[in-house]
Amino acid sequence: MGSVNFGNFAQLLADGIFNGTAYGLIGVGFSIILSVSGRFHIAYAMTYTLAAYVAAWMGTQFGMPFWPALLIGALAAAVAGALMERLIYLPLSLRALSVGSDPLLIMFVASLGLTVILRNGIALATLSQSSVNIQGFSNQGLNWGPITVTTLNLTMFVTTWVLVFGLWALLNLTSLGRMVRAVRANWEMSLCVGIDPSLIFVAVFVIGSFFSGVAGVFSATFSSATPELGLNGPFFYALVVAFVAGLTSGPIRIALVGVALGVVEAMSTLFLPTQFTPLVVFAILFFYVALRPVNFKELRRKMLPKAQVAT
Amino acid sequence: MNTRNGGRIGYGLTRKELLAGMGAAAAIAGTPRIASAAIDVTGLAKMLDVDPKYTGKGLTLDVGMSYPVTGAAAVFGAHVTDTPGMAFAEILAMGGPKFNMILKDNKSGDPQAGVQSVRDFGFAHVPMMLTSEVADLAAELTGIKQYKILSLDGSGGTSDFAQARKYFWGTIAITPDDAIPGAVKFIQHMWPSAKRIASCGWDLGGLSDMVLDKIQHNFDNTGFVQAASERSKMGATDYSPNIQKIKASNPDVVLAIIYGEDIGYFMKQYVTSGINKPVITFATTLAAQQIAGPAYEGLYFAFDYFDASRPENPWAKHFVDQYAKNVNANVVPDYYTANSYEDAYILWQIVMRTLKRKGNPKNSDDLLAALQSNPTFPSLYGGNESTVGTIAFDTDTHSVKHRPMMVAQFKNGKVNQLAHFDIGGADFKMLQ
Repeated sequence: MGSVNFGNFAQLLADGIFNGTAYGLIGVGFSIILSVSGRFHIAYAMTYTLAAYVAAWMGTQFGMPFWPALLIGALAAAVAGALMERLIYLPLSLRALSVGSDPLLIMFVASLGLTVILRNGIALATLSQSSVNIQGFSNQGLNWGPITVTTLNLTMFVTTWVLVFGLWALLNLTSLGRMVRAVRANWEMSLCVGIDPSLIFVAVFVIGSFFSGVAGVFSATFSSATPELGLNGPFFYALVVAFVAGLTSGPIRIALVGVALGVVEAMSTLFLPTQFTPLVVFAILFFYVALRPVNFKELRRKMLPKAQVAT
Repeated sequence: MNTRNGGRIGYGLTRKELLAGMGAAAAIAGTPRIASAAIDVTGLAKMLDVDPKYTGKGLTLDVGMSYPVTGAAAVFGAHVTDTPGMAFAEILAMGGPKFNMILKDNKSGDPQAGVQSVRDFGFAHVPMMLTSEVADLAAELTGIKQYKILSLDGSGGTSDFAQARKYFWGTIAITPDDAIPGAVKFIQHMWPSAKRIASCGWDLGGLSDMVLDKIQHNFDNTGFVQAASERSKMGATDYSPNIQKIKASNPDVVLAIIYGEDIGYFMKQYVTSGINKPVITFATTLAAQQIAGPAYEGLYFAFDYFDASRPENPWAKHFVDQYAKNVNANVVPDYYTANSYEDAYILWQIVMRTLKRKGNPKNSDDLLAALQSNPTFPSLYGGNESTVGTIAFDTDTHSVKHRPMMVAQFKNGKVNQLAHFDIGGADFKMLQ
């Protein structure tokens, strides 16, 4: 058990806020994809990883500074996400519906398969080097009284909240945002006002994957880009944050739930051995699912039957 | 898949034939790559005191190799599979037997893969093998005993949990047990006022408890106390919660008992934690160094490190030169590669001694008897400018009894040796 004093408490609180901000960032991205399209997008973990590799390669191969590399990495993730939706999920969803299968299960299996392929593809392509570092960011420790934070923590914190508030503004102040909210609420009704839900699905994949990409690059800056980067926790945290916040919640609330999760996890080290803190997150998910079961019927309903759109 | 038509799946192939072909292709892909034309063994037989009457010339002997070809440790596997190939090519060039290497993938610690590897070797009556990671974290031990395969492990040794197992021998010092006494002496000498020692190690259940008990045993009568003993999952990339707890324990020195790339992640996060206390680790790899980047600067390590920049004896110098010519001129060989090379030679020495004892080198019991009758072999470690070093096994534990070790520090990107010692802190000597 850790010793409880003000310094230790303050440090854990700071760690929890920063870690939780990262959970919030990936939770927001995952949530917008799931809540609008109904796709249980496990391969979200791989857009996270892909962005980290692209950003790392931009730095190592072209000497690109950190911020442009981060942007290109995140954009690569966004493009990958859009391609996954357009080339894999949508055709499979239509095919499933045309033969009367459950699209939710097929999406799940397809996304799982995609994750395995991409993880092994990256591992194969990088066999000679087990990990790649992100270049151009000099992480420094900053001592504020008893608390030590890093420049990476602060940079990630500010970037995350800029993106979260930006997404809030996009959803609430722009016509695209109104269309996204309309499709999320009821895609059938949105058809009546001339919105093509399939395009909105692509749009949310672009947004959500971009968020995962930014988170992936920050994560790789903290550690290193590896094929397992997105699989060692981030997808799980995204899932927990999205479900606990509620699938119809706005990005600010989702991000705040991420922060709360991070703080609870960090504080749990006061009474749990460090290696068992993920159990706290498991417990939160367990109780949430037990008390508020996931509405799979609603997710199924969100699966876009384009054939029905045509009719 | 269509299984009708006798299981044929097109082009007249059966599924079995297809799988066999895929297996062969995988084996070829994993075959060590050695440019045999560049092999140079001038003076090597004399250096190793090879008896020309018992070299085993004309024999063909199967050698199993269970190494990480895929998975998280594949990058190490790629290195350690090359050096036995170089060693066996040299042995053949010196008039020794033809060692036929059979490489199996343990998938970086996958127990099922390890079990399958040994089973395959057993079915093929392979008498000897080179293995890794304490016989794939003990998964291979049952098969090694069942199929009677004399096995050498140069990457994990016997550890605490695989000692005195028939046919299984560790050719690297036990980490951290063998190095901790030397590290304690180093701390006493380097930082006399240090008392609070924190540690961070992998959570390996009871094995972790054993390690902590041994650390405590070494702390007895030193005045040292264990300020914190953090545990992390094997292969973790985020050590910040552990580092936070270490910070809260206000340590004077930190022992990082983590391996592979983990020490790179640990140091990357440690340097921004504000702790500013020395860290001593018990293994280091190039991959970890690359991950940590500048954060590796100042890190201390204590173990049987092979310093390729300062080869200690003529055989070590030969190895470093030949590695650059035959394997990779761009990478400095580390201790894993050095050990797998040395292990290949130990097998040859055992074969020669078996022949001298009128034994059968294809019979693992005869090989084992030869090893036990004289458990001392030439080594890349130790020795001096004119004399090859030696490695000696403890015939009770099957671990190394004598092994030159060092405490060193990464300084300006290079290894700076600070102290030398042997197993258990014997012959401890500060160099500066």
